[in-house]
Amino acid sequence: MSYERDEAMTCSECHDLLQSQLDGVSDGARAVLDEHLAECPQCREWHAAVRVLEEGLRLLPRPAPPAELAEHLTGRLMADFRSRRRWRMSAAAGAALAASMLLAVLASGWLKPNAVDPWPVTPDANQSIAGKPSPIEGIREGQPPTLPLAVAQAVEGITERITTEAVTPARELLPEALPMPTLGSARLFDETLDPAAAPLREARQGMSAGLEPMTTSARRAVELLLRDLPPMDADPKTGT
Amino acid sequence: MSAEEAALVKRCLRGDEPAVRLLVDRFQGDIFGLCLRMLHNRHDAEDVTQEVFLRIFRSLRRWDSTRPLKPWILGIAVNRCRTWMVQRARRPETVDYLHETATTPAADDSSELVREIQAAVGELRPEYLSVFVLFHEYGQPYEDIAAALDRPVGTIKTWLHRARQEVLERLQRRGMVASPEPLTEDEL
Repeated sequence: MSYERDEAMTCSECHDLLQSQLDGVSDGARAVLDEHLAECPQCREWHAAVRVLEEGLRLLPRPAPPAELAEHLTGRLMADFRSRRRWRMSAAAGAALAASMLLAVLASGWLKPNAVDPWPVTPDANQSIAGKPSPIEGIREGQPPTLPLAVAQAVEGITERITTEAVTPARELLPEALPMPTLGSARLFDETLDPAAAPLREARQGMSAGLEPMTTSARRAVELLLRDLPPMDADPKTGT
Repeated sequence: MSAEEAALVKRCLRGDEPAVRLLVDRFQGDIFGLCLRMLHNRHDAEDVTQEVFLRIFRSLRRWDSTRPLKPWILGIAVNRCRTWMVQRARRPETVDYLHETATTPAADDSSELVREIQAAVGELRPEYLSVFVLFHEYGQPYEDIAAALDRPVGTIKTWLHRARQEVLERLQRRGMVASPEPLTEDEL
């Protein structure tokens, strides 16, 4: 802000200049300010108030925190840090457990197209909403491969590996020279088990019965998911 | 901001206790002082100071290391104080509660002036008060205050000018400003 010598300062300009003074900004309009103050009692009083405020601000003491506050805060913060770290580890462990349980459900053999299903899905369960063919139906009828097929194949590979790892220890209970049981021959156990290993068959039946609600729900949930995935040749912009 | 600050923050995020203590020592005075100015009560100021530090450490990962740490911290403190003031206003015992002295007496005969300024500042609305304290007591420039409060610089300037005006008017009403005589020709 600069003023010509013959320009009179207004009260508004005087107040602005005093605000700048409180901002710590020096201004070259001191002479013009003094001329205005000589003529304006209101601004003169305002200028005096500003000087009182400046003096008071210099004297204003900075409040001191209690002596023990720093130690208390540090202890509190470290306790909070350790608590949050324990929570994060628990959450990670819980997520891993949920993922492994999901894989165990899928390992019941539902996603392999040729698996013998003792609880066959009713026809209406494979009908999709809005009349679109189910991706699973498309796989069984040899239709052109789609993105869901790649997903199904990947999950099938994972479940087959997990099932193989689970079944291998049970082989020791079976008669020698017996071919490795596969998911495709679920009735093998019923036909060839040594009577001494009958509890295995009963355990399998009990586990299957217990997993029935979960496998049915999981089957439908994955079916809905696969149906909503776009085909490989879909337009990336419209998804059709 | 500095490389030293960024390194200190990284150590704090790893749970390094000496680093945590260092950060507390560096900022507890500023935070406590600001809280006391805004809340006018030492007990509240201690409680809110603890809350502020907890929030700082829980959101330390989101601090932009290209910006200085102090304005960011003071911004959190202002926001927590404002929230506390709203919650406190809902409590019926507020009137007596606020009668607890929160001011520190000055060391010399200007204690009356200091008390008047503290009282005048204490009557400011929260946004004016925070800007006034951050500028005049903590020496924060307009740009840093604007960043801390997430407001434009122009708004901060307006708030500060109005805050000063209210404080000055109160000083005049309370008789803290002697009516000045016109300057003489020699003084001009």
